[in-house]
Amino acid sequence: MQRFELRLLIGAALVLAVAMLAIAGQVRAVRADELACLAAAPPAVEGSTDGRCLEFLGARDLLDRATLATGAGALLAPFVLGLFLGVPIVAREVEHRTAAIAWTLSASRRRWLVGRAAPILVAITVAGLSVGMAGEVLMRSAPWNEGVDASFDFYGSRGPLVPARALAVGALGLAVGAVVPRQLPAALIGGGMVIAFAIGLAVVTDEWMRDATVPLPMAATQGAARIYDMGVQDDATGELISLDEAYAEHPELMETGEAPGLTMIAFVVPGTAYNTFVWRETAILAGGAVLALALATLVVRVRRP
Amino acid sequence: MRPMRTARTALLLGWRLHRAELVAVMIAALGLSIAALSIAAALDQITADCRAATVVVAPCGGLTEMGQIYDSATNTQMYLAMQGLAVLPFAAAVVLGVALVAREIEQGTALLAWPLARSRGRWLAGRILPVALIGALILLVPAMAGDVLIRSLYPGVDPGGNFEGYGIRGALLVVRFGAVLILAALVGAWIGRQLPALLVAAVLAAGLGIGVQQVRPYLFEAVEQPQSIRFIDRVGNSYVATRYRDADGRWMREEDAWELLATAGDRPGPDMPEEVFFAIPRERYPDVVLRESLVLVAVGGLLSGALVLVISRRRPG
Repeated sequence: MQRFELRLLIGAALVLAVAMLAIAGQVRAVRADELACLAAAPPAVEGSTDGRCLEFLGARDLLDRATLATGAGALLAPFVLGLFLGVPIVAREVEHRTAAIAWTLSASRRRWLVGRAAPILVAITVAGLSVGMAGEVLMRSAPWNEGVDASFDFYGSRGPLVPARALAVGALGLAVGAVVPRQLPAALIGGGMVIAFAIGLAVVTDEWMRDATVPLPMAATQGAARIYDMGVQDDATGELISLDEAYAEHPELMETGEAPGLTMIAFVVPGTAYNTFVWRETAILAGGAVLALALATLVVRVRRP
Repeated sequence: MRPMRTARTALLLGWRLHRAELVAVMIAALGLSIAALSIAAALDQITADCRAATVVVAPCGGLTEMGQIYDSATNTQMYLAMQGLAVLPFAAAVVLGVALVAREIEQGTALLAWPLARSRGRWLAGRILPVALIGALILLVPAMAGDVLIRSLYPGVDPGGNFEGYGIRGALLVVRFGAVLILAALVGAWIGRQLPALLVAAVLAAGLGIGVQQVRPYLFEAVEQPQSIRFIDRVGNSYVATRYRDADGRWMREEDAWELLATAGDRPGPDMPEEVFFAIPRERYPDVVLRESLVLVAVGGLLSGALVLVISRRRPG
């Protein structure tokens, strides 16, 4: 029934995953060569900007861009997979008028729905899982994440969030397709609902993140979620001072970013909180998916074919 | 009277057949237009305050030095609105275009409609023209809103001679919509199923969008930007490329220039390569728009031919 979409979308997701793994391998290889070159090069003179091992810059730049492009693809993949595979499960049957025969011949409509939806939802989840795992490998290979254990980098482009989002959007698409049994309008409405849901989730997550911020020295913010506020810490007393106050008392801070006895502080969510936020969002998505599946089951049970 | 009545009937039929898609496009177009106009109003207020101010303070500094208003309160919304306006003609055309023929084939109504029509070409014209007209009318609103936004963002530069916001405003929005609409209709006619056609058409439309971006530097000859020119006088020019010239004034390969610059490090000498920027001057904006429009009309013409061919040869089921 959905051979074309399945082949195209699952194939594209698998190609994306393979491309991410290939880029990750290449990044590691180039980085290893660069580190070997830097180890063999004469030590840098302090204050000099003389080039050392610059021959790797071109390849690194190309790989960085490929990393960001495939990362963006991984961010979008669950939405495209879920929407275009979830919507036609019921909508196409009703629109093509095959539902009338199928539902009559089936032992029960719920059993029919399980038989039709389960393989596709499993395929969506497996494709999302492969993209999520490849995203995890790619993120860990990036030179700027070397030595970082937990990080918000690539949030939504890696790990369990990719299959969780794909499954939730697939379930939502299934429900919308059951309520609006015409494929194109259902895809448009589903797309609008996904955008609204994503914005709502982003707003709520942002509030949670704001509540979870901690003051950290600027040098220790690697892997953290975005900076929510900045301030200055008095090294002697540990007191936190607002930037406005610090600039008024130490004008040199505005120009150089440094002042004796003061440390620039950023209010961030540390990378160690990444897992908490991922599992919290996954739980919300799982709840949403269950509700959407229940709605789809209810609609299929009561609607005229 | 008869042509008028035929046109009215065709428009009503187009609306009735594609009501859901047209409403979706209308909501997106109006939403983006309202966003663009409200941001433009906020920027206009800042400009008015800046022009009345006697001391230049942020954000007015950007107005005098860069010819651009920067407002942190609306910056994110403006970025999103501009991205939305850039994507809108492609997305609208794909959504409306794929359903034109694919739905008739998928639902089996083409089996009846094609034999009854005087010719399939005429049937196609009756389906595609009303939707193209209604879609173009809808897109005129964000096209004008985009112009207003750019006028407010760059208050010192005439938007008719400014490459900033290229492709998010003006006639280009409608022309791009027309070309992609025909492309999407062709994909729909070829595949004959809506959702698969939507996916394929979206990929092809994205390819066309990227292609159009790549073609732009070749639509008009770029000229060298004098080093002495102030930043504010470069605003609105379309940057095309950077080239390097050696001390004797000869053009160098980029790789050679980079090597020289890298090895010089923090000890630049007089024989260092000179960086030269090439750009299309902002006064050429209308010419570039016209040339891109002509290219898209030509592409649309070719696609229309292919569409008629597909429709006339394919089986309606």
